[in-house]
Amino acid sequence: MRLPPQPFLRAILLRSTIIWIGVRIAATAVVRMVPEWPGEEPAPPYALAPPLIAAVIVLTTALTVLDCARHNEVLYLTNLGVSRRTLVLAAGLLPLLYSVATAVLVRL
Amino acid sequence: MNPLLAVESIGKSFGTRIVLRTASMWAHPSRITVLLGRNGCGKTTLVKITVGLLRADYGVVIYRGLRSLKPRLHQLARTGLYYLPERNLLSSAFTLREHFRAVRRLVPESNVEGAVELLRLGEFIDRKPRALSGGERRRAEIAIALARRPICLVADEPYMGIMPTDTELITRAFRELAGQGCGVLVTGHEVRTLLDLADEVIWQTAGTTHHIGTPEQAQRNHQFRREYLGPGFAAPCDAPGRDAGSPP
Repeated sequence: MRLPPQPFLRAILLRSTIIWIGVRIAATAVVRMVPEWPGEEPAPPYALAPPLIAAVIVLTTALTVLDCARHNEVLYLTNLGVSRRTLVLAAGLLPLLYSVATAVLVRL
Repeated sequence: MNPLLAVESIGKSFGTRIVLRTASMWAHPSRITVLLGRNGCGKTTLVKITVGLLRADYGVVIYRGLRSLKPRLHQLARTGLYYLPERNLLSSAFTLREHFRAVRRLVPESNVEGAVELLRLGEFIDRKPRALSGGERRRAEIAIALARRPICLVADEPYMGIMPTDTELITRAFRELAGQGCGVLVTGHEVRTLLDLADEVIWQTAGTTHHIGTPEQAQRNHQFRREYLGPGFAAPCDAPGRDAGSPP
């Protein structure tokens, strides 16, 4: 697997972080707007259900890759031997870590 | 001589519109092959199939002896192929220096200094692509290809919208690459420039391709002259002493 070279990798990681923050805030806001079922045990504030966490990761990864394409970086990196799969992995790595860390933290 | 890159009997349709029927082309080491054809005849489609950005309905791509029905650009790139698209190869987020640095990191044998000097990019090196003119940006894209030291270069319409001085530099870069043993495949419409550049000419028409030989042979080809070059095109062989670049 050939990783994107610096500074492209740094930019991908930074963009995925910024996009994850935005998507996570939006997801939390949407969840808090939905009324709880009567008798349902209240969830910890800022917690998301596992399917929603997965959706946040997927959406963040997709938006990061789209942003790379918007900057013409996908073709440039592919021309240097970096596969799209690697690009997707790089874009999804930090959102995955952030999501797991947040899920643990909000339940403490 | 075995071709570095050979594309054989490619067919491609978009819906009911058949773009390619049995199109073939190739690139030989140290030679420049030019693919000519009218607008919309499928040159870019054929090039995209060649580098794995589009899937052919049928046909095969052979690169360095390996046959593939569906090549992938990143795999071709790792074995020395470089694709220069019609436009927008460079990231708008980074300066040229950062682009060259990325090439140097991934391709240790790259020749960044030589490429920057040959294409006269020294004064633009710290600019982002959006701060460059179309011609300067094209030179930068070709400089990156040159720095990458490809074994095979596929360039789609590299001369489009380029002023004469840039054209000269780009031609020099392609010759430099061919001189290093690279197989160069170029498409475009700038007939005089391309015929001057080419070692061999392929003409694409009606969904298929015709190998019409050297530029001199191409200019003598009656059908090619009638259907593509047009009656106004004066070949050097028609008018002894006339410069090929001068108007008819």
